[in-house]
Amino acid sequence: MISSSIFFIFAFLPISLILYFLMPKKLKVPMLVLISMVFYAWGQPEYIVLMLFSIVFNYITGLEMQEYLDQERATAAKVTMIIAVVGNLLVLGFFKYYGFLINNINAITGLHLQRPDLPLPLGISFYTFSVLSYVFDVYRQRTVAQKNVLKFACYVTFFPKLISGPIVQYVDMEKQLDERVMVPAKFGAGVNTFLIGLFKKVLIADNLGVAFTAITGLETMSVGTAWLGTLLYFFQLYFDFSSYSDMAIGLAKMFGFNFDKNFDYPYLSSTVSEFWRRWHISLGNWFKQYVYFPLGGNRCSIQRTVFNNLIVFALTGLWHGANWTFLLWGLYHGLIVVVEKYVIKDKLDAVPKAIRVILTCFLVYIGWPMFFSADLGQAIHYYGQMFGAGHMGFLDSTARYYLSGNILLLIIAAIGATPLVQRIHQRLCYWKGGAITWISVACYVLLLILSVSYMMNATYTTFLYFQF
Amino acid sequence: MSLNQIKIPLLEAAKWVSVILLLVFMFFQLSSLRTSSTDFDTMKEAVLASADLTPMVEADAQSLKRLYGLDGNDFEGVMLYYPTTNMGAEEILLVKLTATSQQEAVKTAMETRIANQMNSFDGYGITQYEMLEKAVVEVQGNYLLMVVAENPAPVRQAFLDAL
Repeated sequence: MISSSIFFIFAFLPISLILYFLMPKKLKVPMLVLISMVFYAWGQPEYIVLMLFSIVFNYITGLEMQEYLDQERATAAKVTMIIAVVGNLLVLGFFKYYGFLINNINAITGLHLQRPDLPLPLGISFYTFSVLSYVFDVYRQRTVAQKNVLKFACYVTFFPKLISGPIVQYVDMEKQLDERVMVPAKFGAGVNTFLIGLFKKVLIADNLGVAFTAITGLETMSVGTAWLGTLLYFFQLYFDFSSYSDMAIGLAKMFGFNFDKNFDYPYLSSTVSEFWRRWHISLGNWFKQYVYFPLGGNRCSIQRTVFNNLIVFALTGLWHGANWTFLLWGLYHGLIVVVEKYVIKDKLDAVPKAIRVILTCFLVYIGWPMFFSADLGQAIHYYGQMFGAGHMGFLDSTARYYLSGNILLLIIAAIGATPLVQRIHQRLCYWKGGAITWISVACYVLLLILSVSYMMNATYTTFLYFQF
Repeated sequence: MSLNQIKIPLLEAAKWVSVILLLVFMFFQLSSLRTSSTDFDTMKEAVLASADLTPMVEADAQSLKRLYGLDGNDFEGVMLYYPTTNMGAEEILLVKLTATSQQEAVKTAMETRIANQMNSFDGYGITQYEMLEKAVVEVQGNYLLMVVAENPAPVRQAFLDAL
């Protein structure tokens, strides 16, 4: 089930909220688990098995680790932690990377091992990383093992974040599993955030996606068309993924949970390092906390720090999918970050901020064809078209057609990728010092009407990050 | 022995049980996707040789679309035999997929067809209804077989042997 569907908004969500709020306090968490399970099973009922395994296995290993730690049996705790990590990565590896591995073994050895065509379980990368954060945190004694299996199940399955994040670390949700502040203002703020996400998804991301799909479907294209295609994707991916995060954060708020933001206007970053502090923040934090710091972070030699950076970015790339394109895309970003930090740092500081922002956007932009191409061959082909390999000229009629048809959308997207709209909204609402509530309400009602009207006529579009 | 003393062995045991269950699940996932290299014509021959085709006739692509909502061009091979009369329920559908990701859609189409036929015959076609009740839908990696017959077992066996 996706959160930007009519069924979700007008049936699943209201019923879930009614059931949740009608439940006595003790039964709210079990109800959330049930709702989340139904939400998940709606799409892939067979893979609920994996979800249940993840809950049971990690709940048990958490308790076991806690026992060993309480008895000061450090080695036994470490062994349990390693088993837990291997168990989780085994599932992720089997469903996400096994086919990739077989392909590469076949390519290297000339063997013809059968490549399983396993469908990727929805959200597996997201919930596996969530439970790994729990395992690491219990082992490192940042927290104690959760004794209540339903609370643990709620942490793993909580439906707003289940399929595409944010990857909420256990320590950030732990207290909220026991106690949540639920006041009308918070619920209202949740509704607002959800509506912003919905608008971004159905009216901006999906429309950008239509044009992008049409362009990438062309056999050959002019330079202008190829660059325009990348520009459409540049904004589509941001609006698609950040809209899901907005909806997840908004939904969580409606149920009384607070999640940190997952995007912070990444296209306003003045370096690629900063971009990664503003783009998919929860994934960046995860890798920082559980890979970069344990490897030594930047408290070691420059060579080692460079290595640590490249490892983190390579893994970040591979996290997105079992494909060389993702690995190269991750390494591309890693190399830029290393160059920024250790080669041109002083020179970069002297460059005006506006130019740095443009340069960062350009560097990120150049990386997207590697990200959206299905394989290396397609990526090379697409880059070739961007630099004239299509022999279709610089700006042909196709490029002009798609540009004129999407120029307004691109302008809206460019403005929407900055905090300008939010600032204007704030200004209007707090005009002359007083909060003018009706303006705000009118804005959000308009968002809802526009989104729903569009959803009624549009075809169903899933989120890009569901494939990861 | 106190509760604390047995806690860790219990947790250990539960952990490994969950791992074993997971491995079983993964094994079944893989085996359901194990593809067969048998070419479609060989499979078709094996299935047809084991079936009583008297009450059936071979269908064209349009009938496949009409009855199952499937487009024959999407698959490596499709064979459909359906009843010669409206009062017949015998049917055989054999599909060789181009990718195992098509499995679910084809299986659903087969199950829907059986359900629709059961609805049609419910109440007046007792023999046909009973035949549909024991219909076979067999999914083996890149091959799917649906058989509605008085005795679907030999067809199913021939299909499995030919894989």
